[in-house]
Amino acid sequence: MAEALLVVEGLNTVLNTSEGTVRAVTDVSVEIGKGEIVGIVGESGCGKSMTVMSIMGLVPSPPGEVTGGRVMFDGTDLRTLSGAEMQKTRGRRIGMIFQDPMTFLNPVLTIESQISEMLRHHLNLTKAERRERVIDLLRRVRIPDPARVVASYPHQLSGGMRQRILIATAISCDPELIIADEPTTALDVTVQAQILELLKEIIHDMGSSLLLITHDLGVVAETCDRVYVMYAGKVVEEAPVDELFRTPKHPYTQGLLASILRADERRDELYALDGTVPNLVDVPVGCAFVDRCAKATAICETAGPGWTRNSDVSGVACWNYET
Amino acid sequence: MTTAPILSVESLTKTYRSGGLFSTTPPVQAVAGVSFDIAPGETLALVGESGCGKSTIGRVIMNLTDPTSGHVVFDGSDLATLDAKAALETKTHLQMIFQDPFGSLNPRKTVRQILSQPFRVAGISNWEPRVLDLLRVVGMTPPERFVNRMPHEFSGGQRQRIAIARAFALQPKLIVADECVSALDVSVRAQILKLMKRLQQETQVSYLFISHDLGVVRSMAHRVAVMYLGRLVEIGPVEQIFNAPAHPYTQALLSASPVPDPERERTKRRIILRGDIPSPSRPPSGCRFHTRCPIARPLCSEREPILEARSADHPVACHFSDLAKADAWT
Amino acid sequence: MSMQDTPPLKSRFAVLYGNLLRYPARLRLDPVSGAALFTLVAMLLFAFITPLFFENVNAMGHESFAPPGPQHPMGTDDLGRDVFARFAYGARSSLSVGILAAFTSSIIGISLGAVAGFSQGVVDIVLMRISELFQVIPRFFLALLVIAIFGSHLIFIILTIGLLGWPEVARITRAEFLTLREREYVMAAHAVGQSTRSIIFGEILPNAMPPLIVAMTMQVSSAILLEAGLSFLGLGDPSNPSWGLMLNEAQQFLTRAWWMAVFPGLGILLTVAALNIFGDHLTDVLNPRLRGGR
Repeated sequence: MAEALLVVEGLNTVLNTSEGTVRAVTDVSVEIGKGEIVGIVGESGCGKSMTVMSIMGLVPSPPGEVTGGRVMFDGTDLRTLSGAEMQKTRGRRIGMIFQDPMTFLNPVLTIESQISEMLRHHLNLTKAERRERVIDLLRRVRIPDPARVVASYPHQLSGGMRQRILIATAISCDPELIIADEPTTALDVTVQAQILELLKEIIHDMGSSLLLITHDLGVVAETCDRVYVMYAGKVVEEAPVDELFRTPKHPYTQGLLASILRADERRDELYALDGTVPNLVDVPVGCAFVDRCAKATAICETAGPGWTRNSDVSGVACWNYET
Repeated sequence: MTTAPILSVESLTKTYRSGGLFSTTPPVQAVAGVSFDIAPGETLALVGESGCGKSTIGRVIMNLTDPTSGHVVFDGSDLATLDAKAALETKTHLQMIFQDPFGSLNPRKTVRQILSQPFRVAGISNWEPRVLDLLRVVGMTPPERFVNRMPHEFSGGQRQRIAIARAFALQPKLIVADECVSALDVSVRAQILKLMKRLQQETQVSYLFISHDLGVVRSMAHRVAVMYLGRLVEIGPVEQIFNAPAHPYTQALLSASPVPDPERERTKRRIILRGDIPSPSRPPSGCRFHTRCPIARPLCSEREPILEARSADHPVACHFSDLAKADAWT
Repeated sequence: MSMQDTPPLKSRFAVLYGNLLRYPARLRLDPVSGAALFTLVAMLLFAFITPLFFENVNAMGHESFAPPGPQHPMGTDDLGRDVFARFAYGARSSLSVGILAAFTSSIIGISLGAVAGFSQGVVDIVLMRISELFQVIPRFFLALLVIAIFGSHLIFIILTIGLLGWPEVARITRAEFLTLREREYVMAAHAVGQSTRSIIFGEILPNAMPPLIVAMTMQVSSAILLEAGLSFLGLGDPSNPSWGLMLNEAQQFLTRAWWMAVFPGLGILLTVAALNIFGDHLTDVLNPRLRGGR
């Protein structure tokens, strides 16, 4: 692995709801090297988005609260930064891309004013320089006719174009890390292919790192170098992308991969993981996956599995995994 | 097809006029001259991206909206021409499963009320045991535990099971499934698809499986119809469509859908289409796909290709489908 | 399992609308809205129980202009009538007018709104234009006109106010129907072949109730105010003392007998304020978008 850019250690986040304390993120440790594309994959409610929010200091409080852990970004613990310092880091050094661009673009501002707002905040540029930079950014995200698009409003653009604008905003200050939370989930496949291609290229050109949050293992296979699989608030497996897909170790990863239907092969017998995700209010004492696991033994009921490191870049949290 | 089709859609066109009386926005042609058949026990997948008209076709078939022109013949009769009583009788064999498991069940009704509704409409009074049977069939056992609960007490997958149970209440012959698993997580999605497959084997029901997910389509469908901007561009048996796609749009669609296999992702030939899907209110001239087509020629913007049979059961609407490489994505 | 398990009509109604009836548990009262609800309940009980203990509100013969004291808790008026007794009767007629008028406007509004929202098209356009017509007519003057023509009997006042309030309810109902009719469970009901009547009353209306309940509380308060306004101008039903009528009578003696004006005034203020505060609170509690967010 390249030199680490972001190291998250033992991150814990809870949500205090009327039904009880939801353990949204439990002991999550994630590492992202410089120039790396790392994926966090999992199903809804697995805590992947909450992990990102915790890293960025964006957990809504109340009801949320980060109760422990370190978020080391380039040598400083982001959790110790003040609100103002964190704000400077966000956008300037860490860019963010979200699932639904429409909610993150202000409907009454032109594209130019949205992006240059970001530039004004973080960089010392004259108005003319900003304008030039905005047009340059739009060109970098392959928006045709950028001079016309800068003057338009979000609703005049298609979903794919809006996602490009969001990417342009995220990269506007040349951040070292970009965090993309389900960036293509709302898009059609042909547009998704364009956006993923674009993201990879841009990350590569800038020499930045990308943390990609997704539920789609196909997107992970297409985009990432390394992957973390999350289940019920915990990381259950970590591996380089090829290894994960070729030899998944955790029964959950195996089940997930086996239940995906692929466009390149027809299956007459479908495989499905039985059961559902446990309620994170009363997390089982043992392994959270025990109810759905075919390999569960007595110990799985009573104690949560520790983290077994298989190599520098891979590990698994399971008592009975196969090597 | 040797047996009579359970459903025939004949040159169906649906145009939406937007705005009020004095609106100047052009009408949107959501579906333009689409025809296809579905045989008993068959699953026809209708695939395409947003705005291609696939959901509109589902709604027209379900009689939720009237077609601008064209016919829908279900089980030998055109629903539009039947008298009210016969239509009601026929309609019970035509059911629908929706995308949003949170929107398809009335939040103020219990499972018992939801599932007994079809029986009560059909005048079946002793429905209680049937309701419990339905729950058992969709894997919600013991049914007594579920029957008094309200929809909000269930997970998305369980709600979708209830919705499927409702659709299967009155021995349906065709079920329109509109993106019925796209809101579900991968592991739950597989459970629901498995259930739908099992029910098809048991009841010989036909599915019109509307989906944008080619992975799901490949394993669920017998035949596939590909739509782009209201037009059918290609229709054929599932293996032919996936192994030898003839239309450049189908090829692009296949190449764009990610496969959970990094090696394959690295080696496969990628067709990245230019630009976005044009607005259905202003479809491009000639072939509607020509603005994004990698092999477009001048002819394509002038004349609209018609759906022509390349082989007996695999018609394609493209002037130059010979040029489009069939091995495009493998 | 036998036929006995078939829920009879009444309990089906109870399940459909039961959530609405089970509110107290889910009202999530805070001190302010709790006080408002308490005021409303107390006022209702007072209005419909107290008058039973007074035989004749118009009984004269007491001392005129007696200030509030142990004998007459709210004093007496110019004709020596007990203000407390009249206040209690006034509460009854004001609240009756409010509730019955709101009921009238809700029935008309919900029916027409449901028809408009469900059928759309020409019916919708025509009904909505009619409702706009009613909305642009200055309510107060139409009420004046009706009373001038038909007389000021309480029933006419109730009907007039009810007829004036329906467009608001109708518009809310229509808006709810327009969105709810596109819900998938409504389409599923169509697909199953449910009748229009059962779709409207079984599927759509129960889900449209929350904003309608809020609208109804607002209808009650505006009806009370309108009636008070009419009575204050001397257009109320003179045989039924209402708070507005009492204020009308108190005008001339404002400097001499403050109690004649203050108590009915307070009655109106408290009731209307409590209704509005409680209505606002209901909006918060019943709005699904705000619900659970807390």
